[in-house]
Amino acid sequence: MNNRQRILIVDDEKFNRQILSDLLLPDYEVFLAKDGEQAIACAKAKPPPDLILLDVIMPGMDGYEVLRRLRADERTGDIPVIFVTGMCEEEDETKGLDMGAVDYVLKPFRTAVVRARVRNHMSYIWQRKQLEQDAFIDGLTGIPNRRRFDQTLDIEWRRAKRHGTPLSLAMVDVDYFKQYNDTYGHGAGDEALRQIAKAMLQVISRSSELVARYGGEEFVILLPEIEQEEAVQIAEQLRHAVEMLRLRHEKSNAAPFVTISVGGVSLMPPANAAVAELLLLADNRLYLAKQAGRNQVIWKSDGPSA
Amino acid sequence: MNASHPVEPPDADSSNASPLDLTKALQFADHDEDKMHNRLVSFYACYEAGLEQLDAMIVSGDHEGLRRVAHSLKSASGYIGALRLQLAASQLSTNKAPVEQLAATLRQELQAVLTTILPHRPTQITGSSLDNLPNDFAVTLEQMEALIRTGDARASVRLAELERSMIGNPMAADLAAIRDAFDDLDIALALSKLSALHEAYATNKERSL
Repeated sequence: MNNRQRILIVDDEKFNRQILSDLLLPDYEVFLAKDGEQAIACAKAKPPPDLILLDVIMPGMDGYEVLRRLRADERTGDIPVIFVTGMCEEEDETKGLDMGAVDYVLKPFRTAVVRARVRNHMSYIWQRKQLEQDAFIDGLTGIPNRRRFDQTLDIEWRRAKRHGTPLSLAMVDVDYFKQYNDTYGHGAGDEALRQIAKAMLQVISRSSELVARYGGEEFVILLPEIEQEEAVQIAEQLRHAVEMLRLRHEKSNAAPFVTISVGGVSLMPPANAAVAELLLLADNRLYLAKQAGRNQVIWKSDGPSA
Repeated sequence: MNASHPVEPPDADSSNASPLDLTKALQFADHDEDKMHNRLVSFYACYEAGLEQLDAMIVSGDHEGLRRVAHSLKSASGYIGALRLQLAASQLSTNKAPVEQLAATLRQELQAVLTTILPHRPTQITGSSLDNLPNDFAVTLEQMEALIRTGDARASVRLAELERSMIGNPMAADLAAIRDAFDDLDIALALSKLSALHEAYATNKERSL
């Protein structure tokens, strides 16, 4: 995996792009844009840039407008921006910093100074990402935790509403997990949860999909922009993957090994609906799956044509 | 954090200085002569058409365009130690005197800088050899496509390396054209030229079998 940090350089002048690109390419992955449109498209790419170096005076959309649009979009709102510009008046610099730029560099610049400034910002960015990652990762299983899930669910719910696209949610419960802990000990229980999480991660392949630990022996799966049929197939693959771990479970009434129950729902979020309703519907299906004998998937669509 | 302050433009007393202060240029290039040389060449390539552009704007009275070019030259000239040009650009971009007079000075200084850089430009080498292609040329072109498509700056560096490794091969000129289009961030044009080169290479290879 390539762990180099990514920088987007936005400047309408080829010569300026070359100066910055030559300066930064040895240490970073560098991407180039010559105007606001290209910059915004590049900032929305996956993975997004860690830092944007943005010119102010450009034909069409100027740097201030680019920054405003980046800030207004949840996908790009947190990307730090440094203005790199020939506008040397104090009010220009104040305006840029007031708009949320993290730094302001005047052209022509000494390369050693800019290299050091970028390195410092990248160091802060890396530390911040590490802290964020620690805050959003479940310590036991290494997969996203409930906080990350809640945040992602909120974003995907609003996106689905905005674009009229389907959203699927599955709640997963490990069958008879209390009995498993009582029989094999909490250490074995923890190891089982780790293996289950790993098995589910292998099924979830798209970057937009999310598997998270919801709490205890409960997991949640978020599947944006796919139809119900595909969502059910994925849920069934999850159930099968856990079953195939063949973790012995003598006290389970569902099977002689560890299994999961899955309750899911696919829907097009109605304009006036709250995200809690989606969770409630999935939880109801999970309840039905358990009532029906566990180790199974119960799914139902709600709302129009999901 | 305070802003990184640029080197101050020269004052009017420097009007008798040479068009290029290579000591300054070297400072801006981290005292790396190769880097300085590459910057001079790059400046020439980027602003070669600037003279005609300035002429047209002077004739049409396009003051807004003139200030835009001056703004661009104000910082670019600083990197190569073109101090007189930097002063002229700085004055025009901040509109401190009649635009026509400043524009004429700017044009004159740009011409002087370009003329001074001219001997630094590499000589074009032409030839017809088809033998010095890398073994994995087709794969390399595919990798280039992915880099160009995402605006990845490595595309320009790799294309330049490839050009140098293919001196004497007519395809090196095609690579240069692709690199030019990419450096202009005309992604569609760069991809179209790359596709044409890929096809030409495939055809040549088929014939040679």
